[in-house]
Amino acid sequence: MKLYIKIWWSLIVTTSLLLGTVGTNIAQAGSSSAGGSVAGIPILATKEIAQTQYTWRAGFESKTLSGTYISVIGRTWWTARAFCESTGLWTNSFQYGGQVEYNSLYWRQISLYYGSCAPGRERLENLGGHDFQHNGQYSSPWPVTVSRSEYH
Amino acid sequence: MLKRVYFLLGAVATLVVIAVAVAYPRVNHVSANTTTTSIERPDAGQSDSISNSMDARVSSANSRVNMQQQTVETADREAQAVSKLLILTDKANRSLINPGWLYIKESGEGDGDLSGRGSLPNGQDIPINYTSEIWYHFDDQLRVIEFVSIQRDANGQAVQIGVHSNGTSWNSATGETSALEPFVLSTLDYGFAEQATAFAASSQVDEMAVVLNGKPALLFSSLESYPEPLLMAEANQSVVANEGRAYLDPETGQLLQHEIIAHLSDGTQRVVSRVVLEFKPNVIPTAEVLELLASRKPSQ
Repeated sequence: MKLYIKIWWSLIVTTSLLLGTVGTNIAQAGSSSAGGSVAGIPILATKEIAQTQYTWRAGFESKTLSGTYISVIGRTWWTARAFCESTGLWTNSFQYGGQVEYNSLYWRQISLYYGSCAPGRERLENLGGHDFQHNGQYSSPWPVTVSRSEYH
Repeated sequence: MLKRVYFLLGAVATLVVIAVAVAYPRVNHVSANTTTTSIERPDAGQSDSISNSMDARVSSANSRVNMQQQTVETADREAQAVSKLLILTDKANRSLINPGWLYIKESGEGDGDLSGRGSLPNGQDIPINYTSEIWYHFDDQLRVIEFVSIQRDANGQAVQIGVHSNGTSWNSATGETSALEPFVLSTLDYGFAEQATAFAASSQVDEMAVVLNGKPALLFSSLESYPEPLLMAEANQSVVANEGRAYLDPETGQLLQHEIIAHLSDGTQRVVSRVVLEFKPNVIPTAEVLELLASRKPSQ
């Protein structure tokens, strides 16, 4: 191989490897948020899905926007699941019950999963109900559902 | 003349790369095959003679040349591994994806303490250790026009069944039917080659000749490291990297085994997923499969 071709080839590969060290490992990500209020306090519910080469993560967050502490904040239920559309089989399916913090302004959880889907496409889902309570008022106006289809 | 210009441009660009490499050392990727470079430095206690100073400069220059050579060699080796991986998987795809039926058997196992699979809406656990049999039916355009998948637990009991037929997909665990048009199976290696290529910038691909179950195999590994450890809340563990391993038949290119190894923050490694595969092209589906397909056909 000619020397200059070798140099260019090495340059391209090396540069891509070096750039990888400062880049993120998250390949695909999606999120969904919805706002509202409980007892006049602005609130925000967010769900997120992020996928790397071998894992996927589901994030669930309930928080107040004004920095105000409220009586109860968290979730009423949560489901994170993965469906392998090219086999018609569920590869992950986790159901979680209610979980809350008292007198807080923030509740967050991220769960990490390993999938196992033969080639084709995989549907990742993050769904559940957010829980906000304050001064005797209750708000769970969603669920905000995040769903992603990944093609391999 | 043109060659000289190319050469000069290449040389200048390579120097830039070396400068970047020194400024941003590649520390977040770990592999058994990673080469380490020790940079010789003049001893602080040595006399400041001209010869020592010269020695130090020569040593330093040699080190920089060695670093450049090793960076290029590593990149070359990785590029060759990815290239070989793509050629082999393409060969396997061409031999397996043809009009007619293809049978795939997956024997999967995992680490229940570290990562379960959860449970189906009917309350049944998705088994950690399972066997899935999949029958794909390809048309002349090599699209999957129907399939049947049967997942069984370690005792051989059917856990869930998936059937794709007549533009719909049905799962036995939920009883739900959804639209699914004929689709193309781009590869049969769990997307390993495609993802190793797509993630080449952030993962490290390696190749090694091994013996798997008494037979020669080519092991391709792809290490994905994370800037911050990923917390596995339920297992109370953090993962600093995940390593995918694909064992390919060196002749046919078919995937023999696929593994994911978690590199935990406590320094240990755990196999979170291992799938042993078996492919049989041009098979005749079993009576059970044909019955399942018939049961999903719209009534006349």
